Amino acid sequence: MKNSKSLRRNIVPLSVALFLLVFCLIWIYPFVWMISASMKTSLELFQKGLNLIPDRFSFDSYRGAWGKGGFSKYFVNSVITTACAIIVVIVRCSTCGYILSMYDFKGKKLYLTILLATFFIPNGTTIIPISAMSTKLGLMGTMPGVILALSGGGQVTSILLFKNYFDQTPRSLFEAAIIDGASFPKIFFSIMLPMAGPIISTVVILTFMNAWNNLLIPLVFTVGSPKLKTLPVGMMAFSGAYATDWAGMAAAGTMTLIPVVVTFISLQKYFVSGIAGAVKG
Amino acid sequence: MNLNKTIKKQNTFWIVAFLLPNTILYAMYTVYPAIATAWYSLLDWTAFQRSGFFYGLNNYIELIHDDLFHASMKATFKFMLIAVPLRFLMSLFLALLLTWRRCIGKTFFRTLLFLPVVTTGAIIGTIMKMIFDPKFGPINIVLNNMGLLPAGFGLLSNFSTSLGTSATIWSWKWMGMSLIYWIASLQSIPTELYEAATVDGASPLQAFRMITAPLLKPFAGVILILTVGDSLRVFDLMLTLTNGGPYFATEAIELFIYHTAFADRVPRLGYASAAATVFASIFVVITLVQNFLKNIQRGYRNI
Amino acid sequence: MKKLFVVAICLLILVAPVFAGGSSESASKARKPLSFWEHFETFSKMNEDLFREFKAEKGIDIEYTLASPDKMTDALYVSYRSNQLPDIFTVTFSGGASQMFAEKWVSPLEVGIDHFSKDIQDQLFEGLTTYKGEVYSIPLFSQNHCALMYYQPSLVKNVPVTYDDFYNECKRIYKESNGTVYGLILPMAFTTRINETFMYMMDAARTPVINWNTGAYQWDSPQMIELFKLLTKMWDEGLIMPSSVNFNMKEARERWAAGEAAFLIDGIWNVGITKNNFMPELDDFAVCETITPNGEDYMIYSEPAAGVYFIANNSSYRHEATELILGMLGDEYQVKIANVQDQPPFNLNALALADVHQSYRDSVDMFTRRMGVKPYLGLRNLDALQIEANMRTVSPTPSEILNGYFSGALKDWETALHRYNTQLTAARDESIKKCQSLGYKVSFDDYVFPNYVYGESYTSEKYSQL
Repeated sequence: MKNSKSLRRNIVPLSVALFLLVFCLIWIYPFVWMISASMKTSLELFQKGLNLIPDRFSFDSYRGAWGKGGFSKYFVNSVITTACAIIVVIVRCSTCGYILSMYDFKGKKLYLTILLATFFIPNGTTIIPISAMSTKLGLMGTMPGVILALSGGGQVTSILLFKNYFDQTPRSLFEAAIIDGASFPKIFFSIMLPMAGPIISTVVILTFMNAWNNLLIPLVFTVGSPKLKTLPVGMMAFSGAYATDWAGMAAAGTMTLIPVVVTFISLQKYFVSGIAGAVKG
Repeated sequence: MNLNKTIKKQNTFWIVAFLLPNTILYAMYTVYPAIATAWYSLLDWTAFQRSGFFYGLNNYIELIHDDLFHASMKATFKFMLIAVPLRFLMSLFLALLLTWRRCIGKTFFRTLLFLPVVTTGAIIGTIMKMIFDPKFGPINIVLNNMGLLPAGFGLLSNFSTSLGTSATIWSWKWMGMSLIYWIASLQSIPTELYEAATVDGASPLQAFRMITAPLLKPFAGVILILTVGDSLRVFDLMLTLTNGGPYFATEAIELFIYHTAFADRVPRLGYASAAATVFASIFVVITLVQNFLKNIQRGYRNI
Repeated sequence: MKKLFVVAICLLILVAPVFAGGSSESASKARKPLSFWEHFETFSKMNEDLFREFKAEKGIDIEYTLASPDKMTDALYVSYRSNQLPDIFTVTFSGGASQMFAEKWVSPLEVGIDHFSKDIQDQLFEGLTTYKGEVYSIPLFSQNHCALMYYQPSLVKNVPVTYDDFYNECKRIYKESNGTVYGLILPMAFTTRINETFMYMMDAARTPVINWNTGAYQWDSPQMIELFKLLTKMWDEGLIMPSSVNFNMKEARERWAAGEAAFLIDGIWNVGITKNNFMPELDDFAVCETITPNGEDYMIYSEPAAGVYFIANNSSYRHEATELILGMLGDEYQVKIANVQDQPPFNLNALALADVHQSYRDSVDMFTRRMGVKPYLGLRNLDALQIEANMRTVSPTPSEILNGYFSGALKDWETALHRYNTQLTAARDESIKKCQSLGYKVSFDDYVFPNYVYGESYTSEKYSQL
């Protein structure tokens, strides 16, 4: 009696889980395909396309990809540019969001409107003036040039994330700190910013995804200095002019994916609660 | 009131200092390029030349008569009309399942669904081309066996289906992002409300309609805007997936700009900039009008 | 304290670029490497040897970049405007060379025309390798075209000569394999290449797309219609691989090499690329001549040979780069070019010393028997090259029209071809007017070569008869 009741109680969650499991397996099929392709030869790929299990398991392509064209170097470059871009984005967006939330100043409305209005500008041609400007400033072909271009774009979402979050923190806390005589930077750095942890992790993930996967900016900025190439730029080597090194590309793809997945899994709890601030509008 | 005033005065220096980083970067990397693009749109400038010649409004006049530009505007909006609802509704449905109190393995499923979001668009495009291959692609094999598709019918290589197919692939790639938006929104709805409703004997569907839906409304607006904005950024994926083909069916505006500015026989920066300016203006105007209307509404409410 | 901290961060963001610029500047003071970009994948191995010798001799490192052709174009445009063109580079835009000279992208070699022997001097043309009397590059490859028919002998029984032969053979292969092997694979997404192939096939059909006697475009000639009829019929009957619609060259070749279709229309480099990537022994690999409507005798025309490697205008290694490039005309290097089985070497005698597949020799043989030089506008009037450079793009082009039919976007390809021809003619007239207003001395007559005869090469003497 008790058993059947608990069974009935659990049948819905179990079937939901089963549905989600099947759904997710179909969902990530392309990735399974990618991993399986990373262990096949090109011809095997076309002759037995559907067969997911390769004739033999070979990790040569991973070893090859890591060594080929200095993939390890690209990896280090990607880590440096991404990490610096994240820091710049956090600094510019948190400070700006804080002011927009806590203080009134002349032209605040205009400032916000301009920010919002540029949200939809397509990226197509901006690379031309950006590269022209960077050349004049001597940023072309340098690491800071890449970092600034990666962190320089709109970032409207991140600014609003911070603004909305600070909007929601109790004002009494802020006023109490002022009455206590705490200085402006002290309030920001030791009271307000530490509270914004979830937003910071959200912005970290958003920036990480954008900077880590960005192809166009590093491509254009590093044309003259191959030493600064990042992973997505290096990845192009696998899709050569005459033939795609499918196994190599799939291996490289799998390898670039790992850091992103790790970052996501470790930050996702904060990420979700951080995003909640953004979508409140 | 008085307190605020004194704070304000003391802090002018800090307000400026705090706004400075963002203002400088924003001016350099967003405002300046936008203005420069508008200026370039008035030039006759091929990519071979270091700088262009003043050309007046000729680029715009040519644009009005350019069938390809019209086709690409149409493709962009059609893409939006297919992809946005698809991504919006699919993610809402999954988010409802994944925030359900008794759902098992939330984190696991969430991570799997998020995987395509973090993968480079160029790789996704290359892989999806294989997955949709008319000969050995799994999608075709399944659909052929079910008798839903004639053998050798390429979903990506047919004029009538390629836009829909690529919009679906795009929705697949970005669905995880909307999913997170929805989960975040749903989590901020107090759970006591549900419990009260279930105690009252409401079915899950009723509970959703009566309680969740009204509370989600403001979130939905923001998520919709974010999704629409995203649907304009398809470059990485589409370049490798279809490169705008077949017969310009998937030539979204970003691809049109890229092809005109870089890949044509005679690459024309001025003409591409004019296309970008026209397109961006449409959205800037929509944003401004929408903001304006909101302000009017607010004004009425205050009265 | 905190105040200082924030100010420091702001300053850091602003100052970082200056530091970066400074540091890269000082690094470059040390003997900086010579940068070398190319897009010939097959060459990268043999050029490593070249670079090693160069380093041993001059003590200069070479920073080598192999770029895919499509990315190469973007990269060159951007780096030109940001003054960071590599010291030596190849170009991917055909027909853009004269523009490149005029806009000072490149600097001339350190030697004049008289440095070269008579037979090489005859092969240097204004707007292709020389400009206003200075030599900017040298031809390294001999004349070739990309409408050769490569096939797999294990699949093909009767080597086709005419359109009908080709259709029947493809049909037989498709039927006998129960629809698993297609007759033909076409890289339809590579629109410029397909248009180029059409152009050569029209030469073979004895109706070049420009009537050189009158200067008129004839992209909609009855011969073109006939070719379209063949291809659309083959498509309707499923003889052309369906995913051709989305294929670029790379994918088409990959799938052809995997045995999914019998024929691939391509250039001679197909030999080297297939060998390197798919078929190390080239054991099931052969070539036949471009098919024609009824098997008539024919000649395929191409422009005189263009330059391959160029020296950047701001290069500090002009002297060394000149030496490097001139060395490529040497016998040793020419044999190496043949050995990689990509573009045919400029000096065809090198072929005798090279170790190449029979199909490579066959391809070269077909070029020497079948190819002629077409009238070249720039030789009579350098300004005339501006006409095409200033012409707006007309689309859909014939390859896009065919793809439109394949993908179901349009049915009436014949009207579309006529329309293309009309619009192209209008675009040229427009461009001539624009060029005249810009001060160039051009006219429609630049396209007219009354003494041109189909089946004969348009040699230097013909220009003097004009």
